[in-house]
Amino acid sequence: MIGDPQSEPLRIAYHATPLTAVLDTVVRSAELRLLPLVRGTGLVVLRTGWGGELRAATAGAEHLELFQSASAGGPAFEAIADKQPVTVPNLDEERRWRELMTAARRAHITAILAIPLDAEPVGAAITFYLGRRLRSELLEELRPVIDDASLAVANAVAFARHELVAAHLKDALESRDLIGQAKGMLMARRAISSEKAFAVLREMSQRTNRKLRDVAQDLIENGELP
Amino acid sequence: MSTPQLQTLMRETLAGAMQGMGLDADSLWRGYVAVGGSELPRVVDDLLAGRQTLEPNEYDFLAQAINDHAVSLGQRSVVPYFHQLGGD
Repeated sequence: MIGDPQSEPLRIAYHATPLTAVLDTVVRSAELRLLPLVRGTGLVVLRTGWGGELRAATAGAEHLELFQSASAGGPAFEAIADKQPVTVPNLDEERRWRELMTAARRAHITAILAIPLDAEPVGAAITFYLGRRLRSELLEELRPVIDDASLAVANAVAFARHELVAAHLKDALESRDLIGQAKGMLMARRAISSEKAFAVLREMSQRTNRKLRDVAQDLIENGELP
Repeated sequence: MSTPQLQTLMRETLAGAMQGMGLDADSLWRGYVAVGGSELPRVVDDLLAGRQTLEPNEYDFLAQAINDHAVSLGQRSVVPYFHQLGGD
């Protein structure tokens, strides 16, 4: 039986934990629950919306995961694409991913199991590099481990996205405030409407090819338009 | 005054500039809010799609957002304001 059915579910304080640290925790937690079957565990997350992929791996899987990432191919990538587990029960008979298979044999891996996580909208898969033969019951036994990992990755990505949106909005509101101040100065000095003050700022922005925020900041700091 | 022809011209001008710069709707909305726009993202979507009338002041906020994005990419601001399109 894999893992302890009474074990605590994976608990992560998302507000205090960078996304990469969450992914590290996920692979370490998953590996702990599979010991002594597993020699290394890797995790790849695709379609993050930030460009590129995110990866995490335990020490025994770091170099093996690089083979998957370098070619954007391997059991994990196939598991994400097909939304199905990918098993390599016998490395000698596997004709795909030759460099990965060679490196895995050198690391005394006997089987590989890649399982997609349910973490939409991102695509993610966890890869177990096993030191023992692949039992047919293993997939079912791994279900709680995969469910925990799916939830943790989905929550971590959602939290990171919200943080990014919040940072962008904070920046937008700061710009808006500067432009509002600058408009107020122009309205008071020239006895013009808010619309006319905006027109003055935007014409200056266009003429000088500078962002409206920068034009507004100049006016506030120097008391005059550039 | 904004005629149907001007409505089309405003939308095509914004859409062309967005496409040319690879600017997505979410980023445009953030830039629009940053320069003073107050409509929700779904309303801006409706304005761009022609499901709501695009008022000159809203057009100018959107034009400014795209121009600011151009400047941040090191390009010249390219989108004319409403009065430069022939509006009054």
